[in-house]
Amino acid sequence: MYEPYVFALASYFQVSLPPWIAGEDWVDNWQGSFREQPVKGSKPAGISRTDHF
Amino acid sequence: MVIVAAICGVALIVMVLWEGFETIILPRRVTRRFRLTRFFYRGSWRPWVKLIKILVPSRRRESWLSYFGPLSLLLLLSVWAGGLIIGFALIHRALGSAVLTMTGKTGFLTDLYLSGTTFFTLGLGDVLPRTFPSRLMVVVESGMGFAFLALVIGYLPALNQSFARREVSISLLDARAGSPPTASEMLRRHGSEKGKEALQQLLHEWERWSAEFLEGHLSYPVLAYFRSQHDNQSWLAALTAILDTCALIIAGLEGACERQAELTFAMARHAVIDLSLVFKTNPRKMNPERLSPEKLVELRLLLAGSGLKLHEGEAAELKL
Repeated sequence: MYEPYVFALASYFQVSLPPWIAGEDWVDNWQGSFREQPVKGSKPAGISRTDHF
Repeated sequence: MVIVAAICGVALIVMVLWEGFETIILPRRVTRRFRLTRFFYRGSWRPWVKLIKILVPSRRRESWLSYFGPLSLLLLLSVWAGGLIIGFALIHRALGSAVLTMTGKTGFLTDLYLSGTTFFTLGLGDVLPRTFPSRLMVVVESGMGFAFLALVIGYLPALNQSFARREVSISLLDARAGSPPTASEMLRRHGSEKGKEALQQLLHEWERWSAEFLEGHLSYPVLAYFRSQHDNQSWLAALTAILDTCALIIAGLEGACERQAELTFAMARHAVIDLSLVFKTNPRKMNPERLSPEKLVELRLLLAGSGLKLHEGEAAELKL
């Protein structure tokens, strides 16, 4: 109903579409900073997404 | 030759003025097939993407893609200014290059110079119109130059405001639905009783956001090329996550705000369809599907873990 349109727009604008389910190792933008770059595939020290919310 | 120059000059000026009117002033979608602005954007965006894919490493591509929106806008304004200058130069040519110069030489380049200095209202006075029609053209062009400058000065803040309004809600989605935002995280983070109220409020805000987004991007389609400032965020990803969440609620999520989800879904879908019409992106099927039967089972389990029950059965799946 909307996915074909969203997919076409994503393809045109070169944007990644989010999946339905978040990856387990994903971190939110607010959880990181330039000084403490989270290593891909690991959670940032001290803050856990599932603990916070 | 004189007639051809006059026709070309007038046509060029009218075309640029009409394009400027449609792009900056007219607040609705233009359905005309050939548009200089559309041609300009379609003709420059795809080569830009191809060039970046070839020249820029993947980790820096997003930054380079984000330069396109602002750069293209400056280039488009330059193309319009150039079109008007050439148009008036052609008219001066058609009027017989009736100008006085210090060297006595006249020609199309002199006409172009006179047109350029007049458009930018430089008033150097080293090339002067000597007949009434030429003087009239100089007056008209200098007025147009002022108007062009005024429009540009007014246009850029309007664009920036519209962009900032769009991005505020997208940034807020970071804590509410993750980065990138997903339906599963949005529902999981609003699983509690108080969370359900917050979810209803959030969907209400996104119904409004979608309407504002639609109005803003129909008036200024160039905004769609302006990319979000933060990693893993974009207007399209946010809109998709909202649509996914609404679809799940409508398909049958017990105790969730179905009415609000229906309203938000309608507005968000309207925005997506109209944007795809503006950019002439034909709907296409995703392969593989974003929500496979296995993913749906996984999603049910995840939601159940947060106390949310998604209706089961053929009817619910068909609805989804």
